[in-house]
Amino acid sequence: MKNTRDLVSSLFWMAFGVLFTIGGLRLGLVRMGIPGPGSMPFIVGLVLIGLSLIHLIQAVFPTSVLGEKIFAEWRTLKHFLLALVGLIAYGFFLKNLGFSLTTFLFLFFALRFIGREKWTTALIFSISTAVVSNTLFTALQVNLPKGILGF
Amino acid sequence: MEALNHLLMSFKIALDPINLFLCFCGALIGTLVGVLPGLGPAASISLLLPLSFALTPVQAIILLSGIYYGSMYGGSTTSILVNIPGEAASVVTCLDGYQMARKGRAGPALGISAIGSFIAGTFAVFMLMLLSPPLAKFALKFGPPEFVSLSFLGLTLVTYLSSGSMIKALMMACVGLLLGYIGVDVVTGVERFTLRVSVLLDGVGLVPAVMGLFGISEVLLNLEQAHKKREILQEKIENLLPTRRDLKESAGSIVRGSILGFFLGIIPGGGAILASFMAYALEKKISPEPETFGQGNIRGVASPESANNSGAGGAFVPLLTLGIPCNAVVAILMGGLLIHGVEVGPRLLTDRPEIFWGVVGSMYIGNAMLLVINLPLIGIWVKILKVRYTLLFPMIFFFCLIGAYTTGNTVYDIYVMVIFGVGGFLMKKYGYEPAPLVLALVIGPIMERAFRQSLIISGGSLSIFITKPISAVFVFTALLILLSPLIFKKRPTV
Repeated sequence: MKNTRDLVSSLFWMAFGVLFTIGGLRLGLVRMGIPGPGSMPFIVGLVLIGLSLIHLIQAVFPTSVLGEKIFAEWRTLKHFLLALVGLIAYGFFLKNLGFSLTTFLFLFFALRFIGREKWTTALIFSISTAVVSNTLFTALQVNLPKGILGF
Repeated sequence: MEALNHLLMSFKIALDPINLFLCFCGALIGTLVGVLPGLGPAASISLLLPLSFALTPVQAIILLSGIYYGSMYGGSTTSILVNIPGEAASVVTCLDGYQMARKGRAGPALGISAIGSFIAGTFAVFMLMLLSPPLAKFALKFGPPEFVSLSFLGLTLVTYLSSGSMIKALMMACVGLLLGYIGVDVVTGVERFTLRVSVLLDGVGLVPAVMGLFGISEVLLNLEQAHKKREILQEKIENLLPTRRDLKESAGSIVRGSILGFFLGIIPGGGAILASFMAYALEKKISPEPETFGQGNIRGVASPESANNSGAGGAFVPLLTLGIPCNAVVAILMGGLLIHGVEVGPRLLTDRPEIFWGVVGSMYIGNAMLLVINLPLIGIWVKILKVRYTLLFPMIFFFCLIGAYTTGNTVYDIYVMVIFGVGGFLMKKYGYEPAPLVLALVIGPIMERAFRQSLIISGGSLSIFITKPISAVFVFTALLILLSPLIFKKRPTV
């Protein structure tokens, strides 16, 4: 029985190694008699390909198989995806909405929809954190985006 | 006389009011980080790294190293009271610490762990002070080939001692090296693997990468358990001071743990985690009653807790004398110093003595502070333990987001962090360790420069690495380690 998880990961890292090896070749292995900018990526890329190959062989003839799924149930996948959406959205809206508002929205979203905290707890916690952190960072003269609302 | 002068200098730096305050902050944050499961020292140091940019290098390293050794103290609290290690180096403390707590001896368990930690921490600083100057003097003989070979040996040891598959650890080291090549090549000025993204011109940012790998990914993993309730010991903790019998029983374990921990801490890949496991194994082996281990034997708490503190101190020796980080946390510390423009290596002691002696002095004082912070404030730490994870994780996310953004005032660093966060999550699920990757990411660019300099010196011949005696020793040792799994079936792992 093949170890699918190791099989997939070894193929992924092999592709990663191939990209850097080809990139290294393109950048040049030698320049004016000295090692060029592509020399090290080429060498390390080749080593990674070799190691991935060994790992691939081990995955085809495994001694043990990891049975557990990456996400044990739908709820864990849902939390994972919600967290990702929240984190990316924070970066996306930070400049336009400003630090305080984005922070409040992010914390409220995380507390209420991932942490399943009560509406009131989520509201109080996110508002107070946004206000306190804004005051603190302003006092520390940390440069944070103000956004269209000016705070 | 020289040693005394150095010691006086170290205390003069450490007792400066700002440095003293930062040392206290580091110790306090470290304890907090140690107490809270799911937020290790690596993530916390990377969180505070951007804030440290406003400080001088001495102030920064005093604060950040305080978090590291402080977390070793705090980690035992959760192990003893909840049976959940606050950080990896306290895993083994759960075995006897929790059993002691269940038998109503949580106080002595916490007490002996703090006393052992203090003795071991102080011993480690003393040894750091004693060993570093001659080691740095010897390392001054190192040229680029020796540095490459030593880094190679360091990376090999890290992969050899990492938990799980050695092949996977080696793969991660390669990935870390490759990621380190992204950005403008310092020798030729050529752009490499930047995909025309301007934020990548300076390379993959260490802060967002580490925060993603250790902070975000850890929370993503913990979210799976976020709604489960933790069982915390409800009884009142009394008699924190161990009895005379407890102290007598533990004295030998503390001494052995301190010595073993320090020397294991020096080895790349060793550090506090390996130290605690080995110390526990040693105690069990030499004990006349090995069957009592795992059932609340106080030596099973004293020994690993001493070893992990001593190991944390030991890890500073190769960092401050050779410029080789032994583990991921120290690699982040090194990255922080590099961002501050400090050249970490054998010259540090002569060029920037205030950094080395500042750390030494602050560690002496920090260890004493930790004893005060940990024992009388135990009630507060227990209350913090009761904070729900569903309230805690949004704050960790928030600190990571702000930390990543303030590194370069660009949202791209947030995206880099998220990518590494997802990568770290998948890596852990697929059985890959992030530590070799981080180490390689930090020393990769320095190693590459030294490698190319070596080849320029030798006219392109790789033989330079084996014709120079010191370098040859490092290379052959590394090769021996790499080939050893083929000879021996079992290898020690963290």
